[in-house]
Amino acid sequence: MSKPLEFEVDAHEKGSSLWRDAWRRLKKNRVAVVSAVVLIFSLLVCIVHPMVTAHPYDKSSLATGAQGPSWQHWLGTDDHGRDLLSRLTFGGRISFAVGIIATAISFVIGVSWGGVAGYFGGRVDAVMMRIVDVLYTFPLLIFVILVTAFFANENTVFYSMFVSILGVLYSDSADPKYLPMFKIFFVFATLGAMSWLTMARIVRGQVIALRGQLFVEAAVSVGVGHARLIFRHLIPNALGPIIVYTTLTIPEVMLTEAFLSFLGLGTQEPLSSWGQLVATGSESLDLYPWLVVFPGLALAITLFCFNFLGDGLRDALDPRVRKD
Amino acid sequence: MTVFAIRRFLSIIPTLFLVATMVFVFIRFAPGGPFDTERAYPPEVMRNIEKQYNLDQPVLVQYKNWLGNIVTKGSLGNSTKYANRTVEELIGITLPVSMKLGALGMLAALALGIPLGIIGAVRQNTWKDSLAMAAAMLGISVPRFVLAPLLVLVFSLKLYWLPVARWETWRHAVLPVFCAALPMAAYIARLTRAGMLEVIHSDFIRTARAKGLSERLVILRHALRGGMLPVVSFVGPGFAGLLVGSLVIEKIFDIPGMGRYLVEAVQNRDYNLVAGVALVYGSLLMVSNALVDIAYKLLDPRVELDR
Amino acid sequence: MDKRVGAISVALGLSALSACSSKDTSPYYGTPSRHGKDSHTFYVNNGGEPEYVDPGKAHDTASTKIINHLFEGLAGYGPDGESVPAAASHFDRTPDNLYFRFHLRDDGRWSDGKPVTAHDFEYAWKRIQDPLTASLSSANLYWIKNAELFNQGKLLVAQKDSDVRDGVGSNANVVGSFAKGGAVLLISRSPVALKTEVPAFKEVPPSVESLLYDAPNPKKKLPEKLVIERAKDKQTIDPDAALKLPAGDYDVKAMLGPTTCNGANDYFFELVARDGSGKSGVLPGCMLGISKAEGQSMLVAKWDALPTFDPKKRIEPKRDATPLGFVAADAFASDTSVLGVRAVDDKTLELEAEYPVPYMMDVLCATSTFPVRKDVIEPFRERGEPDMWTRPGSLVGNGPYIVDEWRFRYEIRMKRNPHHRFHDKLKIHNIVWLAVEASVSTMNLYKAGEIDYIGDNSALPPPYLPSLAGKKDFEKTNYLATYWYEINTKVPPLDDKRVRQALNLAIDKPQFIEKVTRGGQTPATHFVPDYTRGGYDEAVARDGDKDPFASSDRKFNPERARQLLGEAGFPVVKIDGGYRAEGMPSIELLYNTSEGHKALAVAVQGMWRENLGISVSLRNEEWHVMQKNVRDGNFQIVRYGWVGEYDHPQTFLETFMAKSPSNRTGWSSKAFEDLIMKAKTEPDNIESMRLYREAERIPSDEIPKIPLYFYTKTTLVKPYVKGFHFNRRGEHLIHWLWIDENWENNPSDEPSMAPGAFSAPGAY
Repeated sequence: MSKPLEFEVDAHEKGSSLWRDAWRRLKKNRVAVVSAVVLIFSLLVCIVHPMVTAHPYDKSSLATGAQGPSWQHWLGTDDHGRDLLSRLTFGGRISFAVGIIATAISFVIGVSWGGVAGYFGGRVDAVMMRIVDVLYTFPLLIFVILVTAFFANENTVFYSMFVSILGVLYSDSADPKYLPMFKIFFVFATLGAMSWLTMARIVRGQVIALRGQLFVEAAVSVGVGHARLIFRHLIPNALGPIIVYTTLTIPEVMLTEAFLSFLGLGTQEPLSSWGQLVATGSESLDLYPWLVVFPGLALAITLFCFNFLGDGLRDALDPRVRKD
Repeated sequence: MTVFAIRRFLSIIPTLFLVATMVFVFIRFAPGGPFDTERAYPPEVMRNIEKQYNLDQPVLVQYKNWLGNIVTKGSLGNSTKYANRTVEELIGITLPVSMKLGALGMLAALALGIPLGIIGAVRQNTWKDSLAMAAAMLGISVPRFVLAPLLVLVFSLKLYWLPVARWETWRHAVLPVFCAALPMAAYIARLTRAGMLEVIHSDFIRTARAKGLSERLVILRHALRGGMLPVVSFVGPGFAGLLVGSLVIEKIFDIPGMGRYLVEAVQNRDYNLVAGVALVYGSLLMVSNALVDIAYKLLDPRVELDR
Repeated sequence: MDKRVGAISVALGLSALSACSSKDTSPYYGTPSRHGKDSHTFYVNNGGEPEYVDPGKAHDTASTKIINHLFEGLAGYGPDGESVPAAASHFDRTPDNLYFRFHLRDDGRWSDGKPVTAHDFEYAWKRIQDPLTASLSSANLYWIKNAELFNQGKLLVAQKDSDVRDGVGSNANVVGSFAKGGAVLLISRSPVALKTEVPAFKEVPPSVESLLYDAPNPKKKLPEKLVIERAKDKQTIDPDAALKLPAGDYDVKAMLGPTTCNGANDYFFELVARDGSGKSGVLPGCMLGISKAEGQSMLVAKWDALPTFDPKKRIEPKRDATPLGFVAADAFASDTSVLGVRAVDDKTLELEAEYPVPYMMDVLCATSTFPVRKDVIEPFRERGEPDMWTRPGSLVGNGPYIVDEWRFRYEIRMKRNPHHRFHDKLKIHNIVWLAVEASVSTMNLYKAGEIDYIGDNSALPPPYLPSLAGKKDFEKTNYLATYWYEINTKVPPLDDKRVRQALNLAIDKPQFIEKVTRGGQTPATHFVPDYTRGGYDEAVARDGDKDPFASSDRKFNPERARQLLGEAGFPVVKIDGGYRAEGMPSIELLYNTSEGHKALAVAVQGMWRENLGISVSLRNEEWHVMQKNVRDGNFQIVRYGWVGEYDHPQTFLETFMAKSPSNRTGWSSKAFEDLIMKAKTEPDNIESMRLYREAERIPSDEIPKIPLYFYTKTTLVKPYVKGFHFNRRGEHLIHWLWIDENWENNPSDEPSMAPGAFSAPGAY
């Protein structure tokens, strides 16, 4: 009676000190810290800058046309005379949102799904992974085009709901940005819906590999329940590749958004996102290189930072890593 | 093992069937049809066209016809956009090109990525590690549709080393394959490194070292095997991603591959072609996943894949 | 450490880019060297893969370009885009342009050696009109007498002697008989079907002016809408709500009178329920659906207006023909003998036209008029594979080139047709057509010297235009096409013409041409380009200073625009930073996904906001979705353009006629249509053009479409390509070109051979 309790208490303590240890280790990793700082800083800039800038991101001035960087426009202007810095910061909001939200969706679904499938094995695994297979085989692009054509237009109930909610918050209810913003939600949803599949596979693979190990047998023999076993014991031990893959998912999602923008299916005018800026800019690469370089840099630096951060997290979380 | 392999391959068929059916039905829900052109045509003419392509029948009947055609004639139907071609002909012409591009791309990605990953893992936290990972990072962060025009600009138009586009000699293949491979290589490098690190500090590696095996053997034979696990799980979907990503490359380099159909066929509402492409794409994916599962089993004997 | 690495790679990337954008100072774009390629082989981009290489069915430019080299018609495009003799050597016509006789040349040959005959043309033209061919180009030949009705399945010929009855079913009285071979106009089939319950009329509503009917849309849950306006006071007349006809099959009892529905000729019918319930009512034909019940009859009228090919014996159709009665449907069938085209002998083709066609020789350059071989096509038709005859192994054409190798979506290789009269005169012996769609890749291929000409179907991306303008291989010309925004005039507030005029006057067209489209296009205040031939450009020259479309009150005038908007009920007030139109709802501008359209739409959106203070949202959709939405009326303003099918104002103004499928605005004007009809039938060209210009003023005033600009075309073609005259039709057939290896010393630009010209037409 008291023995399992004691054991559980111990496990508890071990668990929490695991996380605290991780946090301590993370703080010591300078590169990861710097990356986190850079990310938070860019996020803040993207939130604040469009609110205070003198050049709204969608104000076009045909007379100006595309100009290189100058004192008036620090990063230059695009073909329509719109300030690139403003479009970059506004676009950053959207890119961050896409990256974070879609990845979060994929993380939650993928980890749970893969963990359960890998743990139970047998028929449960077979059925769950068959579903993943089927969904996986359904081509992403067909899915995106169909969803967009079908749902993301003004004739749906969703759109009217969306407009009425926003109408409460904003006074100008007939804003030309509404439809593109509405479509963005579908971009989040479809990207998230496609990304969790690979996550599930990886998690499953890891869980299967760990399942046969001693500590699992020990926990089972003590009577630890399934859910706890999966989420408190197996998954934390598999976190290394999971975290790495998550940090790889964020850039993947951002890049997929860029790819969709290249095809005209991602972020629509007059909204901008880094992906859309890069896609549009790459068409006049040798004429107006700044239109690609700056958004590309922003994208690349952000992705670098996410990756360094992910590495740091992996190093911090893996309890068996010894730096020798 | 062979039993497992056979069962694994057989299980592809029902899944494929399910996916093809889903695609077949969903595409018909999309608004618009294959014959929407700038002019509105006389209803008589439209009726006749629809009759010719069986579009006036209910979806279920169309589905039955389509399945029947596959089973009895091995035919996937006619394309609505290219009326004098059958779908299997269109796929037959373009699939080998895409496969070639994809296979070369995957090989290049593995050849680039794995060594980079090994270096990173073995020389963890040294400058070699950082360089390798930075190179990988670059590969992930630059989208293909920026990389491709950039490389063409530098290597074809300025330096004249390589052709601008098209698919003729081995020199035409260099840039497209490289563009296809680079992002994959980056992922593979990172996954290899992460997987190896998982394993490299574990007990059984220590045991191997203690046994007196040479470092190289320890790494290549034992650690690498463990490190390959995440890479192997990635190759299947990675190859599929390559087929999709090849859309960009095919467009920019004018390569007659199948990638273009993924988007165009949907946008043209070319129902038979969409179904055919989804079928082929799906089979490729599932076969590669099946192969991955088998490779998984071979690589890690600790893994017990039930039954 | 890692950061240093990152920084270094970024720096490298930047320097690589800056190296790229160094200015290019050579006089040509890219290299004028051909890398030793054979100078009798021409490399050009076709812009995409052809969809149908069947002259009767092709409607995309990639297909028509290929067809223009594998086949030839009675006439063809010369080096300057003018109409020159091709399969025909000369022709006769009547002064009113209603009758034509074409004489084919003796040395016309198909690629299998057989001679080209007038029967090939007759077969081709009749085949397009056959509804079973399901050709989407049939409307291109509606100038053939009876073609339109025939193509709609409304003209039928008796296959055997038939009884004519006064009602449906075999127990109705026989009132006459109809001989085999006679032609009838189908007024209605019987029974007809009503899909849903419909309120009907007890009798024909009096003095109906217009009838507009929208079918119910179950997907969007839109009920059907029937709007009938009375002539005198525009009041709507509603059907009798008490008289509801349930869904089901109905027999047509009688035809009660002519009317028009949605702009097309129609009738009111008395219907009786087939189920014996005795329910009956009066409804217009456009509301009736097809019934699949058995025992089909047809209510028909005698159709006398058959072609006679004799101007003195012309029979005009009677608009409101009295119905003969009911006949059995299975006794009648489509028969191409009602069409006004026939081959008199192997070398002579006669045409009786439905309406005057002053631009006939231009129309005959279009690929839909090209001949095809019956003996090649019929076997495929019989096997149920009607489209397979165009595959490379079975295609037979009469053009100067034949297919050598066809690699799908990659390249098409052509070589000379050994039986064609040009065989020894052609300087280009082989053509390689690429199928590149991405414009940047096309530019790169041209720059690297892989292709000799960008191609008729490829456009130069606008951002490149300023830097290309100075190059010697850059060419620009006016193009016979107009870019416009169509307005849905049924949707308020766009139903008020003052609002539309305001929208038009608030766009600074010269500015967006300078900054956005950048092709030196001509800003448009009207719809027919000033340089259109057929007498129109001469009429413009005659008008000179008094040109109504050049007056300043049609140009950019934001003040007047605001004033008009105010008059329409949306006063424009000044707020800081601009204007605001009070009460004006947001308007949506729809365009199909394309960089060019987007750029212009964004610019116009900005102008309307800046000058009028109205809020405009942009919607872009892919082509098919957009087409459907436009057809369903789900749009407010939509972008379209019109490329002239022939060099005559009729092709542009036709798109404003009520029943034109290219009129999506819902606008129509009887005054306009009357003027057009007069202009078409007027034999004196000067007077005809005057009438056309007068008619054009009506839509230019009421703005159902906003004219934006007359297109220009720009392209790049290598300096060693001779005979290339960049023309406003955008048609440059390879037969006229040649590659001059001595181009640096030889400035001449003569085509490879003399194109010839049509001698004055003889009398029919």
